[in-house]
Amino acid sequence: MINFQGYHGTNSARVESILTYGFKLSRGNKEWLGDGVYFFIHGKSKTPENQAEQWAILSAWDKSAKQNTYTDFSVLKADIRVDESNFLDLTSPDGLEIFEYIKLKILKKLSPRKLSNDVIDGIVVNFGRAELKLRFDVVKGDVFIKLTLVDRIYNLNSRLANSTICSVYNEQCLSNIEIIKTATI
Amino acid sequence: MKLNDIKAQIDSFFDNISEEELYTLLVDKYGVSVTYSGELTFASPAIVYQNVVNLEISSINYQTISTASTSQAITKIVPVEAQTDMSQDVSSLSHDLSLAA
Repeated sequence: MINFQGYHGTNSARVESILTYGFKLSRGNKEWLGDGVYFFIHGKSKTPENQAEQWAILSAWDKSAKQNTYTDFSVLKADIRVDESNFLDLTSPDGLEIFEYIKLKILKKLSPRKLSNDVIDGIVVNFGRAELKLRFDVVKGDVFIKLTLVDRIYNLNSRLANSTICSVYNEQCLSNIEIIKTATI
Repeated sequence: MKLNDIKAQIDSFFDNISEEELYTLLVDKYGVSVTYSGELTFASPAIVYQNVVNLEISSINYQTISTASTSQAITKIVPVEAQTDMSQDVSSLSHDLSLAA
């Protein structure tokens, strides 16, 4: 069994619902690691709780309206517990081997057609879960996330990962969810 | 999670789905953009043929230039009375050039 802690930054108005009914999964093939509830975890950053806070602050900003959509934010901490056989760790050689194998199988089968999507990470994870019936209860990966105002303003991307995150698909892997910070932007 | 534990499961799926079914699934359900690769099909025969012709022409040009410059060099170096031996020199030189190429 694998255990670690995750940090999730969000609008304070959602916290009550989360604590009562649970998290709402982020869904879509453009999600970094496929469908799931996203957490910052220890790895690339020593302070994932600060990254979760920064995420909550920056996510409040509505570009088109040019104002924050909320002013109060919270950081939640949760224990994440997953069986090793249902854990896709894309920061490890074993996890990457699985990811690359599925990707290559798709590409070979499609040949001579070829994919023209820039990023298919989320697609591969969702495809593995839904079509290949693989139990990706939790997926972990190192990614680059725009976590500073400068990154956001200039829309700067990077190939250097600054965050380790995980997406939790099976909510039974989550426990001891608690608020560790509430503040105003 | 290790590949060896799930490899058969993955292989089984791909063994039992056709290219067309996978294509439709990826486009309709996963919003994947798919294009054809000109290198792997004959969908664009003119382009493929053009590549072959260009390759041959470049080879011919290279050999032609080499032969011309070799002949000039031999004409200058080899005396008229020794032309009987020149064919041997030329074949020897051509052999060396082909090895170099």
